[in-house]
Amino acid sequence: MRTAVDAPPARSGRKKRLRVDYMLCAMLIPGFVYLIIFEFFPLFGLVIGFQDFHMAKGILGSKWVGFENFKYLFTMYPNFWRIVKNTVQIAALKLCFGFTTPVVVALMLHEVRHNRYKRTIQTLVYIPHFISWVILAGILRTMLDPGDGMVNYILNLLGRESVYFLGENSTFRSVLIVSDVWKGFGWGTIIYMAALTGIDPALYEAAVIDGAGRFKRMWHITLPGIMPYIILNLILTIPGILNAGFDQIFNLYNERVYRTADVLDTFIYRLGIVDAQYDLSTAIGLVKSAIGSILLIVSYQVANKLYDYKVF
Amino acid sequence: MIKKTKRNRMKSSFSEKSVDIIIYTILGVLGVSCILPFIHLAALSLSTSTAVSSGSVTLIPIGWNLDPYKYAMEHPAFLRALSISVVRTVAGVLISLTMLILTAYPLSKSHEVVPLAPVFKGMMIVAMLTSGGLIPMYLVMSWIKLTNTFWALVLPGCLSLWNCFMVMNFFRTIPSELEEAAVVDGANSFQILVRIYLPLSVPIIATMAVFVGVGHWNDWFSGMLYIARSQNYPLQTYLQQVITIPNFSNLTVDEMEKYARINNKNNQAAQILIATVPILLIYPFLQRYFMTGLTLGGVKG
Repeated sequence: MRTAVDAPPARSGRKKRLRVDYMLCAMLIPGFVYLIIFEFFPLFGLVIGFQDFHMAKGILGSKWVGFENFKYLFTMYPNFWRIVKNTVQIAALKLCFGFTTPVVVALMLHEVRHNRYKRTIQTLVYIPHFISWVILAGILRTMLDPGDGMVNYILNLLGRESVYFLGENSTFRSVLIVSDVWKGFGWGTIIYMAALTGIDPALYEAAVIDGAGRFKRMWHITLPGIMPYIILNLILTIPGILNAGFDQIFNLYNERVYRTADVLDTFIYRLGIVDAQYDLSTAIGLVKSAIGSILLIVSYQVANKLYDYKVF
Repeated sequence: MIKKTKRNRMKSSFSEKSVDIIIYTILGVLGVSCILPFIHLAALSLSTSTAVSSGSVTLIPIGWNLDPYKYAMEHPAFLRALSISVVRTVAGVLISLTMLILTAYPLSKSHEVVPLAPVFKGMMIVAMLTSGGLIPMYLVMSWIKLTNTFWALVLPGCLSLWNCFMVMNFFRTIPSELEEAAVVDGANSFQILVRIYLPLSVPIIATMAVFVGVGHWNDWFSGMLYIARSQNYPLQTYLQQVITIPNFSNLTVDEMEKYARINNKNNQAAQILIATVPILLIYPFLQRYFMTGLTLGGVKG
C-alpha cells in the first residue's frame, strides 16, 4: 500500500539536456506569495508568545519576556491543567469510538449481499460528513432542548423526567462523543470499503470448501484484508490527540459545562479573541502545535517504516 | 460422518439467516439515523408555532405553516448572508482551482526544468507541518488589511497544500508523449497545460472543486473571526449567531428584540434547512467524485 504521491517525474525516453522553463517558474509565483503571506508570516507571528504583547506597540515595540507566558500558564493559570485533561480525554474517547465504529460498519456492509440495499445504506451514512457543525449543533440544540425538544418529549411520554443534555456536566460529553461518531462513521468506512473490494473472492470460496463459517471467514479473511488500513489509519489519527473538535464544542457548549467540556482550542479562542490576551493565547497555541507537529512527524515515520506510506 | 456435516450445514444456514437479519437491521437503523434529524427539522419548520413550542412535533408536521419560509425569504439579513455565501463559494472555488493548477503543474515537472521546485516543495512541507495558530494569523490578516473585507473569506487557505500534492501526482500520470507532440507543434508550457493537461484532468479537478465548494459553504469560523459587522456575515456565521443562545446581558434592547424574533424555533428550523439544501442537491455529484478523489490521489493498493 504505497501512496504514489511522490512518483518520479515523467520523463521522455530520450536523454536530452532540458532547459529551464521560465514560464513554468512564473506559474509558481502566486503559490509562493500565498505561502509567504498566509503560512510563513503567521509563523513569525509566533514570537509574540515570548513577549508582553500590546497591540498598540506592535511586535517590534513590545517587551520580550522569554518564557514568562509559558511559566504563568503552566504554573499559575487557574484551570489550565483541567483544560488539558479535558482535551485529551475527549479526543481519546472520540478516537476510541470514532475509530472502531467504521471498521465494524464496514465489516457489516461487506456481509450485505443485496447490492441495492448496500448502496442505499452507503449513500445515507455519508451525508452527515458534509453538513457543518453549525447546522448539526442547531439541530442538536433543537432536539435536546429541555423545554420543547423532541428527545425530552419522548422521555416524558415514557414517564421519565426531562434532561438538560447540553447543560449538565454528566451528559454533555456523551452528547459530544455520540454526535461526533454519528457524523463521521459513514465517511470512515469509505477507505475500508475500497480495501475490501480488493480481497480475492477465491479466498472465500476456498474457505467455504474448507467448512469455515461466516465468522471464521470474517475473522481469517476479511479482517486481515483490511488490517493494514486499520493500523495505518490508527497511526495517522494519533497526532490529532490535542484536537478535540473546536467546531463541535464551540457550537454546543456553554458556561455551565466548561468544567468538563472546555478544551485547548476553545480556550485559545476565548483567551485570544474574547479576552484579547494575545500573548498568552499564542503561547498555548505554540505549545499545542509543536506537540502536534512532533506527533505528526513521528507517526508518518512509523507509517512509512511499516507500510511504505508516503505523502510527500 | 455424512450425517454430521449435513446437520452442521443446516444449523449454519439457519444461523446465517438470523445473522443476516441482525446485520441488515443494524445497518438500516444506522442509515435511517443519518437522515432523521433533517426530517425532524423539516417537520418543525412546517408545523404551526404552537405545536412546535409544545415540543410534540417529531417526524410529521403538525398543522401546516409556510410562514417561516416566507419570513426567511423576506428577511434582509438572511438573504444577504445567503448571497454572500453563494458569491464566496463561487469565487473561492475559482480562485482555489486556479492556484492549485498553477502550482501543481510546474511541480509535476522535472527539477531541471523548474530549478526552484525542490525548495518550493520543502516550503510546502514545512507549512503543512507547522501552524502559526489563531492569533498570529489574525494579526497577519489585520496587518495586510484583509479583515472586514470579503477577501478574508476567500484568500486564507486558497491553496490547499495537501490537494496540491494530489494534483501534482495526477499530472505525472499523464503520458509525456502527448506533451512532446505539442512541443513539436510549437506550444508553450501554458498552452500545453490548458489544451492537454486540463482536459485530461477533469475528474480530479471536479473532485477538488466539489470539496473546496463544500468547505466554503460550510465555513463559519473565518466569518466570525475576520468580519466584525454582522451584516457582512456569510450564511453559516449568521446561523451560528442565531442558534447559539446569545448572552442577553450584553445586548441592547433593540438587539434583544431582534433575537427574540429570529430565535423563534420555526424560523430557525427553516433557515437551517435552507442552508442544508444546496449540500443535499450536489450530494449525488459529491458521491460520484469523492470515490474518484480517493482512488486518484490517495491510497493505492
